[in-house]
Amino acid sequence: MQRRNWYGRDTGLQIRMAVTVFLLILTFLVFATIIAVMTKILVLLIIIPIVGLVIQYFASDKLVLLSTGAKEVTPQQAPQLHAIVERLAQLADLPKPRVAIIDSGMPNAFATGRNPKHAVIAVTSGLLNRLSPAEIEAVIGHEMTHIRNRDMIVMTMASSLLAVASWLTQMMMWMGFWGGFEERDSRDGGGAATLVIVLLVSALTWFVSYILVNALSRYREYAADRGSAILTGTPENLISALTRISNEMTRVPTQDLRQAQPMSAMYIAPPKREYISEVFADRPSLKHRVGRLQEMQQRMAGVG
Amino acid sequence: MSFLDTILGRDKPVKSKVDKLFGLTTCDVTMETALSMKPTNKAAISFRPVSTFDWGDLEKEIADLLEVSTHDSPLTWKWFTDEFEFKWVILEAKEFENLIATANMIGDELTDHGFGDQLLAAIVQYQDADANQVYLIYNYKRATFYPFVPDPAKTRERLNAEEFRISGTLAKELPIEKEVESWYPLWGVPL
Repeated sequence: MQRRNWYGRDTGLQIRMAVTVFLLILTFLVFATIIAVMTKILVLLIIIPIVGLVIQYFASDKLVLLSTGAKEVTPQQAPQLHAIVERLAQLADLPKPRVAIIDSGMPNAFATGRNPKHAVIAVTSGLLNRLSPAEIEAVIGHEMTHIRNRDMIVMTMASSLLAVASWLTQMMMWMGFWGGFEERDSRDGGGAATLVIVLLVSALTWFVSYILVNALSRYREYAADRGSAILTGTPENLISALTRISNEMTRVPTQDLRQAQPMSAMYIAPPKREYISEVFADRPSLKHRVGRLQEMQQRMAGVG
Repeated sequence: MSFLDTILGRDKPVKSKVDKLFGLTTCDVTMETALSMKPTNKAAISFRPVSTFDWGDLEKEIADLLEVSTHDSPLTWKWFTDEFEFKWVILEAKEFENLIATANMIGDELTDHGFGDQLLAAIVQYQDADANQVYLIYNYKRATFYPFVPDPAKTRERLNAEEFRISGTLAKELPIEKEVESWYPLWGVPL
């Protein structure tokens, strides 16, 4: 007896993710070609932010735990939380991630670590206090899917282009301010022209990759929501967790989490920010996330 | 997990391997002779239910199947939902082979309904010479077994040395889970 999978598929999401990744690689190739043709010195300038990213990637779990003040807890200190993580790790066939708690009233959670073996799931004390065990489980399921999908490495690689482009743009503006490439063909203004072109190319790359990286980030949030629903079998628990977290977010000031800006990509809910349009947002809106989960729920119930 | 799955954000559950459970029927001699551990003929299977599905029908179907198999060999069962909202079918049989065959059948039944991937673990109870409970747990995702020996004197403590003795003895006969970090305990299963 072959039945339709109860969890269905989300082909649209996968296509959009594939297109986004393709466009990002294309942008990178075009950008790198132009920069390489224009000047050779700049290749060196590209290496510096990449080194930064490599360090960030390898030390990510430690850096993030440090910057958020997350403290690792043992199974004795948090038996319930550990048990939830354990069961979901078993269902997802992943090594059990380390578990950390952040002393913050605001309910939130994130996962970090460069691969499943080095993964850490951190939750705030506010999350543990204000959410029901079923809701906490749904949030852990979301983070577990981030780990399984290796979102840390995917997003680090995707944002490396963004970092290079933004760094280069700032570099060019700074150089332009101080007089540009004097050693170049300054007689007919060729040096200035090179500088302007490189500036424009990096600014454009910055803009394009910014939109692409944010799109990819949103899609991976949807994928993590989906993964949580599949893992726990209960999309409604994630819906109520997300709604509750989001309500709390609007009330509690967000200053302390905003400082961990690069890591907000890993949070289940972003520190509150206002966007003109979702195109510029790295997180999908609550409305869209809940909408997708409800669709999934209906498909699961066989009415969608 | 493939490269493409990573890029696309895989959205499938990990496949369960239901048929390897039978391995237990061949090693009960070793359990008894080398370790003096006898099966109590009690076992349990746990899975994560899907909330939008009407479990009443499936429970009834499983009950019907179990009803049929009790004609051949006596068997009792009960349902149980634990604090993590995982469902358990708890079985007690007269014969060990029938116990494992029945546990296997339930796994097949769930798979037929498309919920095989929701299977978490099967746990089989044994008793050592001192009448303490010893368990073998089957991990459906990895198709491996591992021992679980709760310390009878303490709460939520395990007798690791005893567990290593069991895994070492059974290693030739059963696929033992090599990653010790994956030897997840299952506390408080009302077998």
